[in-house]
Amino acid sequence: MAAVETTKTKYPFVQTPLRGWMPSIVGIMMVMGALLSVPVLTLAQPARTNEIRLAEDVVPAPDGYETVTAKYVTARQTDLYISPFLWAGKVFGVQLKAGQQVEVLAKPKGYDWLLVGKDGAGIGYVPISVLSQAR
Amino acid sequence: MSMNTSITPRRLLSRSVGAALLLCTATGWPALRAQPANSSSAIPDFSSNKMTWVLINGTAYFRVPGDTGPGPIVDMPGHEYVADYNTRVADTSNPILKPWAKKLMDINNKRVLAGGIPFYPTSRCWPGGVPGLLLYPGEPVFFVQTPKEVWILYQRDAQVRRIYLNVPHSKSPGYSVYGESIGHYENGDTLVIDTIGLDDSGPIDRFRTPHTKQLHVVERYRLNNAGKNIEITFTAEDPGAFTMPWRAKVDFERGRGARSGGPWEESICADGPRDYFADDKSGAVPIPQTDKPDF
Repeated sequence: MAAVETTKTKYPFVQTPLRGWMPSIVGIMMVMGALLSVPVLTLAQPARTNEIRLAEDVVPAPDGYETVTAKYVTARQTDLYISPFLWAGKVFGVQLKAGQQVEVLAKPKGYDWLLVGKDGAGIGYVPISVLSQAR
Repeated sequence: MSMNTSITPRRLLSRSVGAALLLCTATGWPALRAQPANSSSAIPDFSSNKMTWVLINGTAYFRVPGDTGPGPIVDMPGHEYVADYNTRVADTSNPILKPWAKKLMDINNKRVLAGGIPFYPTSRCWPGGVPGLLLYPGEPVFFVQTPKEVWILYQRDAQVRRIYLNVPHSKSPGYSVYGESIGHYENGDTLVIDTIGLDDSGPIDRFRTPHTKQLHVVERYRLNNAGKNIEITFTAEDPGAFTMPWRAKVDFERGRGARSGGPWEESICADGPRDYFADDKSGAVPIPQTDKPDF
């Protein structure tokens, strides 16, 4: 008995009139929350991440990709890189000319770089700073 | 060969740092002399006697004695580094590498084995980053210790690394090549440095091991051999690039090398007169440059 009294004192909220209904209400809210979150999660997913193909000597982005919808042209002549940072190394034999429209496949998460493609396959990365948004 | 005696901003900075260093070492900091050397609460003196420290035993990390972990990236078996300055081939079977990092290093290995040059930041006059700066070969390193900060000065381009003592990390330190370093002393002989906020601008060793902005490095600078050496061990963890934390070490020696113990010399790299790889076909990263003076 003493133990019950102690519990009442410590957790008074369980003595409310809704006590019996609480599990049901919480359960309904959890189900509704889960249903409502499905479209949000779907929208947040980078739609094409799993479809990205990469040329043999191009390295996957460390943390995956985000979708890019904007169109870009090169602001100046630039090299392509095998991973989204400068010291990774260049893609040999490929250079983008100034003013060239580029096929952007995705943006590596956490990097200010873009994955450039050709015929749907990633052929290298370029810093966003060397690109301009196409009109 | 004629010597250019004009005072460039870099030379002025170099001399100013050198003068500050000499002043500090000549007068000594009260805090450094207040406690006996063997006390566990004593502050180890990395900076006295105007002496320099120089990296010894090569320009790669070594396994920490007794460490049972995977250790650092080392030479690929059968391709041990000998003397050629730029031809390291990495053993990418080390389990620390995440798949993307392994693939990147495998591609670079393939290029090196085909005759390419595996550039790394310091070979193109870029800062070495942390812990990459530990691998500056043959160039003096100085310590300036004050009660609130430790400065580690590198002759290379008069670079300065600042360690803020006995404070927590900032909530949002941002990212930079040397990140944000905090530190404290331990056991009377060790300076512990904890660094975060490192950008991903360069690899962390001469095998071109990549990292991400999640890199966290804890270094321990321990005076040993009666103060003649510093053993520097560090732990690197980066869930973006590595599957697990790993440890490694390098050693510095006091007063070693032709320049050691001498004056702080001007070091020219980026603003030197030549770029030996300007027409290189291996894809050298450009030497840092600016079109406008920046004071």
